[in-house]
Amino acid sequence: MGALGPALLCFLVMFVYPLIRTVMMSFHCLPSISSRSADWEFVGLKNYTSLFTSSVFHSAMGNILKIWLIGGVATIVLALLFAVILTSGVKWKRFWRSAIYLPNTVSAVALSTMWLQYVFHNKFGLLKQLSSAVGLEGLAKINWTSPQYLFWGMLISYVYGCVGYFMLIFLSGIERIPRDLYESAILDGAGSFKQFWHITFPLIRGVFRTCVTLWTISSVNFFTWAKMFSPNINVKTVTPVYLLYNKVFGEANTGTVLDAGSGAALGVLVALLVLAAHLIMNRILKEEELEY
Amino acid sequence: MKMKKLGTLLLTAAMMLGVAACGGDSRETTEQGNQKQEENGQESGQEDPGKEAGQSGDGEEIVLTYWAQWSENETQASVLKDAIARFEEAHAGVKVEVNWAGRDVRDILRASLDSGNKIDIVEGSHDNLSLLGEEYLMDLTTYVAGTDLESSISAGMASFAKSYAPDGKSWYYIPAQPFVGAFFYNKEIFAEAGVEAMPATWEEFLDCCQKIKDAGYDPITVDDAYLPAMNGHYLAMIKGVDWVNQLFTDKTGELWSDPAILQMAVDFDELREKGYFAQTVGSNVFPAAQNGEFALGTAAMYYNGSWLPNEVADITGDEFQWGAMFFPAPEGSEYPYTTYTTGCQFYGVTKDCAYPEEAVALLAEFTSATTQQALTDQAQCIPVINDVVLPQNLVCVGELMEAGTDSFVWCGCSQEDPEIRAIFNDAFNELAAGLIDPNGFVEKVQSGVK
Repeated sequence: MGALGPALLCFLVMFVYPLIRTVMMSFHCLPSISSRSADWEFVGLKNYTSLFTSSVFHSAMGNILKIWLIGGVATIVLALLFAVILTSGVKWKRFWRSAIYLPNTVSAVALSTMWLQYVFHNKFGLLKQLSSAVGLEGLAKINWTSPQYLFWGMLISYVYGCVGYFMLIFLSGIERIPRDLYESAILDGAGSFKQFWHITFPLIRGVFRTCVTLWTISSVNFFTWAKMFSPNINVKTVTPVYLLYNKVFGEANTGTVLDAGSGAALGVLVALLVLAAHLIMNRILKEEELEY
Repeated sequence: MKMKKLGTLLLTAAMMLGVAACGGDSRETTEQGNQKQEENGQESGQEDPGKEAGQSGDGEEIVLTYWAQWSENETQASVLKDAIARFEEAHAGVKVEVNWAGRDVRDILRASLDSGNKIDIVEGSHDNLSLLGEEYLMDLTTYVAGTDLESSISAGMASFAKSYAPDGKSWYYIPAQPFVGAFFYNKEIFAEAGVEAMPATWEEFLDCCQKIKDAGYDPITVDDAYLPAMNGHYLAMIKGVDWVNQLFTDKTGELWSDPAILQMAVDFDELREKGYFAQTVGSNVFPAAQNGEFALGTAAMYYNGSWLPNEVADITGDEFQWGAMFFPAPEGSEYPYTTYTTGCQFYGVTKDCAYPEEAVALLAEFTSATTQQALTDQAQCIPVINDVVLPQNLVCVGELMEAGTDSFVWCGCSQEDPEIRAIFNDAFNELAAGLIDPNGFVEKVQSGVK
């Protein structure tokens, strides 16, 4: 207990206390997160009901659902594909591994700026130039920062920034699988796909579950990319955390009416969402006994 | 068993701490703060008899803590460091400790004050610092009265800062660095297109745009970050700031059926339809239009703040001929055409500051001619005092302010609900991109905010 005490105390003070305070705040109207409790006005479930009837909240939830589902499938499939290729004896493995992971070493702000101002630029962007060069005029005409495509442009660039991270996690899981399993499968005449489907995939279910959980948390907390793609809050790219930030801290030079109580309610809903997603994932992807 | 009990005890203690923390506050209440001031004789401007210049009552060194909105590596910080050195030299025994907090100060200032941090001087944008109000900040009127600080600050900025005071006339906020919102333009393109007089009405503005288009340039470009400043300027011109504040906090949707909204949408849609907006407006994410169109000389006008010449200096070089013009008065405008939008960084002195005289003296140094000239020369800032020589690329802003007869707050709005803003921004982007028509714009905003 002596050894556990400081850690437990830190946990209680750093995690449990803010959680309790946030839940309490969510039932009150208050202008600032640090307002004295004497200044809090009890409003019951009003903060929650207001959110549930808000079209912006609905858009924010819809956006993270798309980020989680579509972005998640794209990221995990690409990451898994790269990990499988890199463990299949491909040449210059270390180079490719570093190259694919490289975007993760750059800050999200710098990376999103590169996509916005260079790759997606509507006049001389890389995507436009490349598409024109190979004759894909339809693709070249797409303006990825226009209202119709802004969300998808954001999602593509976000997936690009995440693939390397998840690839490394899959890579470590696949490399732990004994090679003799594959050798035996080859002797039995199994091809690459069969090896992946019957050996690799079942033996990295735990890693897969971890990746899905990590992706869920990052999707629910999606903020920086949305802020970069829409410096002023916009329904197209708004997410719960972006809305929460604007309700609690406001936007520069615009005189936002602050509402920390509503922000706290959003925070509680986001936390519940992560919890629910985690429980569902645990149920769907049950832990396997055999795992490396 | 013992461990279980200890764990329960710790958990209970932490929960009680949480409850206590929610209920308690290390910051003094307003009443306590007032009482403290009165005890110190500060409210009435009385001198503490035991206190000599540069020393606290007990003879110890005075330390002023200043939380700056600049990062330490910024030019403004370098100029302010020199000002602090001059102040400390002139006020022996007074030391200034600076927290170069940067722009993030807006997110942490209130919580830092609430948690009991000793902060004497705070700094932030007008919208952010004014949220602190009299609950946190001291009325400096008695300390400022009759000083150089009071006489040197330009009338326009003094009036703007006082308008944020609870009574609208006291010195709670000392203006630090103003900015002006207007159409910035490329004088060379205007000359080539034959635009001689600045457009005063919307009709004249359309003529001006046509001439520029005929000359082969995009008349107007703007980035997404500044669309709210431009359409807010329009709305405030015809309905006033108070109405715009009500509009952006109205969740019933009633105010959104006002004909002014449709009029604005129709006028901006006409700019797009006639090709006066660059084709990219509606899809420009800051700073694509600023750097890639206006600074490179393919577009003639760009709605922005007076920080623009400094931001694009590396692209425009010294040859760029800067112009700044008033927003043309729309039909039915309540304000004269010679109206510009403005905003300002403010300083404030906290209620618990034990040495307000010294704090005000430091702010007087920050707003002195020496510091203001250095800020203007080195950081391309607009001064808060008169008689500062402006660099060539900011002369147009000085001329605009001099010719201005009225001003209102940046974006024409000082109160907005973030949800309404999100809906409005989305709909306006679609209007600017030609994806919806003016009626569709009004319907989209109305249905969104209800």
